[in-house]
Amino acid sequence: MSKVPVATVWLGGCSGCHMSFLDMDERLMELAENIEITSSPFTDVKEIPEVTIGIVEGTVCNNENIETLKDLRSKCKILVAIGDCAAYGGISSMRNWFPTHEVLRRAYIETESTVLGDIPEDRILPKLIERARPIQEIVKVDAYIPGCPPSGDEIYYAITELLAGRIPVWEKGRIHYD
Amino acid sequence: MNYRTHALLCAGAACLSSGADNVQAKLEEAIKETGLSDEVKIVRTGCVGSCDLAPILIIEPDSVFYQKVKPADAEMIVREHLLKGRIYEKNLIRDPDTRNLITTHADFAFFRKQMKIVLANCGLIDPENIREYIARDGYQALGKVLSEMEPEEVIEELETSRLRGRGGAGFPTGRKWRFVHQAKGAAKYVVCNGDEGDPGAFMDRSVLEGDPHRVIEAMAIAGYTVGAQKGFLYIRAEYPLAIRRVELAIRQARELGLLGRNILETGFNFDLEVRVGAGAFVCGEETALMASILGRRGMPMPRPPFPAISGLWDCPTLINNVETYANIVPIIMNGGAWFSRIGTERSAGTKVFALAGKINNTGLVEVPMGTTLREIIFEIGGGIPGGKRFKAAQTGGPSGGCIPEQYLDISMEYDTLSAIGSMMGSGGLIVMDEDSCMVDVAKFFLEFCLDESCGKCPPCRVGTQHIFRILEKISCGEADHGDLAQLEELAAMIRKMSLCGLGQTAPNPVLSTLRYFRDEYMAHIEEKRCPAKVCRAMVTYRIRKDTCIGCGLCAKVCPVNVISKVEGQKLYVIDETPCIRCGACMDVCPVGAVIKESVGTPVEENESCLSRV
Amino acid sequence: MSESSVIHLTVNGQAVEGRRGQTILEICRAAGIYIPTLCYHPRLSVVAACRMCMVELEGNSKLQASCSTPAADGMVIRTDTEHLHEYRRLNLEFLFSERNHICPFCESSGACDLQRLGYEHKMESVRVEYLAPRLPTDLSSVCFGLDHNRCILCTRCIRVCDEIEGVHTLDLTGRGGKAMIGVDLHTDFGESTCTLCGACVQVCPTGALYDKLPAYRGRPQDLESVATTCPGCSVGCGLIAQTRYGQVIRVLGDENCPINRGHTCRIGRYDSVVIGRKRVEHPQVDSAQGWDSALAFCKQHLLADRQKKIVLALNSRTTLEACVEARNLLDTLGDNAIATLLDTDLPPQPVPAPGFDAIQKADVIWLVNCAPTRYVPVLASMLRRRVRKRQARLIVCTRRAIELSRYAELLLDLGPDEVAALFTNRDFLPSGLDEHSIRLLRECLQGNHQHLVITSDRPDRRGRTKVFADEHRKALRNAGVDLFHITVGTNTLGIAALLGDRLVDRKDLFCRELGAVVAVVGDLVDERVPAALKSLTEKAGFVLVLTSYEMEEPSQAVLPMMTWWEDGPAHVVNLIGNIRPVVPVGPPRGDARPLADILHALAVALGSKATRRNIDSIREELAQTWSKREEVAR
Repeated sequence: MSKVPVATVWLGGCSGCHMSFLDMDERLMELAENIEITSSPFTDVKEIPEVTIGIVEGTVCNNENIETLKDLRSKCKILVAIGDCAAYGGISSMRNWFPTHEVLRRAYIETESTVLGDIPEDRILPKLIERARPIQEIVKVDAYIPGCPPSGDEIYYAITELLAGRIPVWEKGRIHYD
Repeated sequence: MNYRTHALLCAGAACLSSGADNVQAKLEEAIKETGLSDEVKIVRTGCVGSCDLAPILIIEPDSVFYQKVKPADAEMIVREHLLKGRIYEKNLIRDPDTRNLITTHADFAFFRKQMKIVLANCGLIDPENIREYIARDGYQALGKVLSEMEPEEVIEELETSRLRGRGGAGFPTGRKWRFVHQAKGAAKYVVCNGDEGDPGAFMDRSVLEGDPHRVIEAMAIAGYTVGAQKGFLYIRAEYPLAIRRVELAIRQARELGLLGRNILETGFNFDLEVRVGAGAFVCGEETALMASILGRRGMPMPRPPFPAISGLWDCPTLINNVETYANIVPIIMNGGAWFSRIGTERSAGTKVFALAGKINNTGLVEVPMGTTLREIIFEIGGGIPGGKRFKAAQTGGPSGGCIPEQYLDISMEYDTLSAIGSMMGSGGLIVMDEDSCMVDVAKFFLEFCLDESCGKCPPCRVGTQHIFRILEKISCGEADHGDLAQLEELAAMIRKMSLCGLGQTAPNPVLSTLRYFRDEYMAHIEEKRCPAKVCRAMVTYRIRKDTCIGCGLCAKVCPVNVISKVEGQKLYVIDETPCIRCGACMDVCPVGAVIKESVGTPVEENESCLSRV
Repeated sequence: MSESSVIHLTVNGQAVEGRRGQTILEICRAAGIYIPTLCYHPRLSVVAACRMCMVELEGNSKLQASCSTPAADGMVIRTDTEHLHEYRRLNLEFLFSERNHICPFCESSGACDLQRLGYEHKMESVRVEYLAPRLPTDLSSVCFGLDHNRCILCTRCIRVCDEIEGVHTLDLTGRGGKAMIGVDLHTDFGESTCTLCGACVQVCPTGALYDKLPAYRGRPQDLESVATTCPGCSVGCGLIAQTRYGQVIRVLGDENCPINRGHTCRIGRYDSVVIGRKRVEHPQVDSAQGWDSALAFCKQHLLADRQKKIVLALNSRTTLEACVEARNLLDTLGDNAIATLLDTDLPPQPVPAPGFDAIQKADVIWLVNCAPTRYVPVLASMLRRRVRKRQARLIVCTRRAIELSRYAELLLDLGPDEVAALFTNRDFLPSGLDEHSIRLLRECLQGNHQHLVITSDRPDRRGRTKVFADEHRKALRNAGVDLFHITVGTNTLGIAALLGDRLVDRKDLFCRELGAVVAVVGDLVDERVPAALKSLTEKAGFVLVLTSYEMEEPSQAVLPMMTWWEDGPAHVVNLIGNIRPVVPVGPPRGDARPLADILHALAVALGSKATRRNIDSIREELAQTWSKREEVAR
């Protein structure tokens, strides 16, 4: 039986969800029998191929994120949002309570450890969009794994459910938003 | 003083804002100059109804109806008609079909089909003079009730009449009075809901401004019937004239012993107080209204308990609308049976409608229940201006729905309107033609509800914001089918879960327009096109080369300077991309060279409707 | 429960019984049927605002809010359909999308009703767009913060402030999506009429209102909870102290305590947790090491100068058990030994006040020479509730305005004698009153009203005390007027009862030549205590200080004492005579010991053979003492 191809991307996230993915520990060996991780921060393969499952970590924060997200959406059958940032906006959405220019000033000029800061601007740099947004405001999402981060157990549950052809359901006790 | 002529000058809101005071000043001056001061009396009346023809002057007993009277016209009318007996034709109405001049308003189609019961005195008496009300049998009903009828008999008369509440819900009035009559409490109260908040509605306003005693007398009758000694008239702050006239009327009634202690020597005590609103549509909802009277924040409370059992200060409280009260006196005088013969089987009596929008004869009309929409719009209303095609009529304001062309022959009554997804509401009737976009209409009413939401419950406070955002996306051409599906889902939830009528009915205009004009929504979503060419993001303005005469007026008025002359030609051209679609160029073009087109124009990011967030 | 008041419902196919007058929610909760709620709170009025508790009623196409709908016999109800679940979830999604409800950086995560409901409804995403308004945060209060971005406008805070604390500092401002909780109509907490009772924080279901002290030091699920009594005043409210690693992090009102039912005040909730002070962990007595040698040293010096008085200066928090040991110590020290209170005056009439239902019964309440808001805030809230709900009228007879003056119908400058005269002499009228006041006064006195006089017999600024003398007391009693004394100080009533005439007012001892002073500072951090201590010990031969925290001025001998939170099991008695338990909440710091133990050990060192007394025998003694006093008064 062929392995189910999976691709993952991280957008405006801290990579914690990907670390949590690795927390599945020895279960990764078991999963490796059934899934193949193609393009991902783990594998460092840059081009996303056609896959069955696409997993997205992180909030949509800039226009490059939008492109990456749309790219993955167009190449996968089932899109999964992993972590609070992808599902709700999470920590990255903290900046929505301030105007973007203030956020940039704080980050690049006003932080206490910065000397002679400057806000970087270049044609090739992605531009921040006005509000950090959960991914379902941009594309259709098929499944969610909430948590900050979701634990290895929860990720394992979600992937095995998906492999069995079911959308994971988050009963009380299994779901957490922090 | 034996006047031979009464010059009835309409001092309703529309006439006043059209300059009736200046007309009056000129009339007085001219009458004095011509020495007619002892023969002609000027009477300032309430709203006559034909607001489109303001200012209005009616000369009695000649029954001559003058419209659009300017001060100069007033002088001529005095000199020609009052002094010399020659009707001044310039200000007569011209029949739109026969082109004949109409002298008396009974001959004018607008009035011919009306049956004035609620508005019987409006336009005929001076509302600031109680004696004129009394001269037209005012306070006879109160006298009859206090001296000849028991409360039970009054209730029976109301039940026989089959009168239903005119505030919008249509609850049988007799039954409500019976509930309050039977309820137990240390005290009872009678309240009149004069918080008419629907945009475009001015029925209650006209009654309060034009015939306040009709309401006062009815409230006293109500007090006697249910066992209350105190009543409150809650009038919205935006009606200062109504407030002033009602307060004056109350004072005059007190002076004559018609309010206060021992009314008409029968031992019955009843007094009234005016309470003024503070700019909140939600205070038209009865529990929020009561909170406002009690000095609290105007937010609805859960029902049960209903006000009839526990209302103001936890006492049984009767709350009725202005128009409902205005029907009481005729019912008492003519009997419930008489009233129940007017109208239809399920809705008795008449209804006052405020005709507005794309209609020739805007104004106030009163017709028996059961009159068809077609009659109201085309016979009484004079049809759609410019010969345009009727598209829909909105009834019930922000809580109601639209009536499309296929229902033009619908009988205007409570149950038929609810059956097609609209509602009678308080009587606002807004007419729309082919140039109205139904998505835009739905957006307008929804935005109103959004602004007026009290904020207590999430379905209304947050839900209306979400469906408004979806409508904005639709009108910007940025929505897809999923958005429409979500719109319907959220609308259904908001209807079921909201605490009060404002939230429960806020989705109605959206659902109603979707029901009858789904194809129009689909055009916005699938084709990114607004069929009526209203939604700005989906229209573009273009100057027709073959029509343009190169006058340059359009370029002068353009607020963003995107119209420029073509080199070497008598032709101007609009730069479509930065054009903000305000339509000023189209308004000012003398030859009609500017046209609106529906094009799927790519909208630049910074012009997206959503970028203002 | 009479037969006719029982009603029968069917809920989710199950037969359920209830009483006429109950709401659907109340009946379901009692029967263990779960209905989610957010704005509902059992102690507060019902507003039906959150729409989470909607249920389906057979025969009615409209959904009903179960919290506000009275149940009727024969109702068939469904609380758990697919339809309701979906609508409740949408409602939650509306709330989550409305403001900032991102959990990872919220202090209340794990103890938030909104979050819990999200979990219960399996809300894995929010299917509507986030609105992200930018709302302010008010951190101007010393004790707690209000983050409008976390608020769901459930209005519990408004209702508790209005209906329980009674000050109505909070209400809604603005309309619709712009509605916000307003403090005194657009002021900040720090400058408002807020009494810092913290009730709003306790009832807030999300992280909008949060206490500053425990913030980021432990979420409720990390904390241990112990129910004990408040040390703040003589009302003796029940508190829940929450600790982490043995330290008190947060204090809440105990909803199960019938005295305060979950309500408390600034003193109990905030001032009673001391931070930033260093503890005394070991005996610091000359060069002595350890308790035994320390006690030996003290014994020696206490008896050094037997000509002069030996003063045992207790404080008002001294437990009943410690009192008994104090008395025993005094006996052991001999006739020269007397006791005093370091932090408060002695109550002139040390019998318990009539119960709190005297307040509930009264139609007219007179405040004579007292300041309830300052000394017994929870009692002040009881008064405010009654007066603002128009269930009682308030007449304030104090020389200067007090916080409660603003709720008064009449403000008079009368002393106890004049107040008593009003009730006994029909013609008596205080001088200088205007017509309106005279009319009101007559109205209050002439009707068939139940009067209550509340006093604390505190001296006014110039040190004069106008006290209700026995004759006044008799006069009031004969007129059917209840007299309620506010005792100032946590256990002052108990201390006065047990120590009787061995107690002397501290001011009589200031700057006197004393042989020795044993000063029980305990865990009091009020600045007036060191000042009083200084005046007391200026000319004392030997000074032994029993304290929890290090004092600024060093003393000869210092023994480490447990704080209130560490002490117990012990007891105090509140101003109405209820015995209230003091329960140890955390382990003692270092070598600190309970006061009772220290006094007992001192007495033993001095040769006492007395055994420890238990609370039952103390309770009996108190009852006897008080009944004797009351007889005398009669």
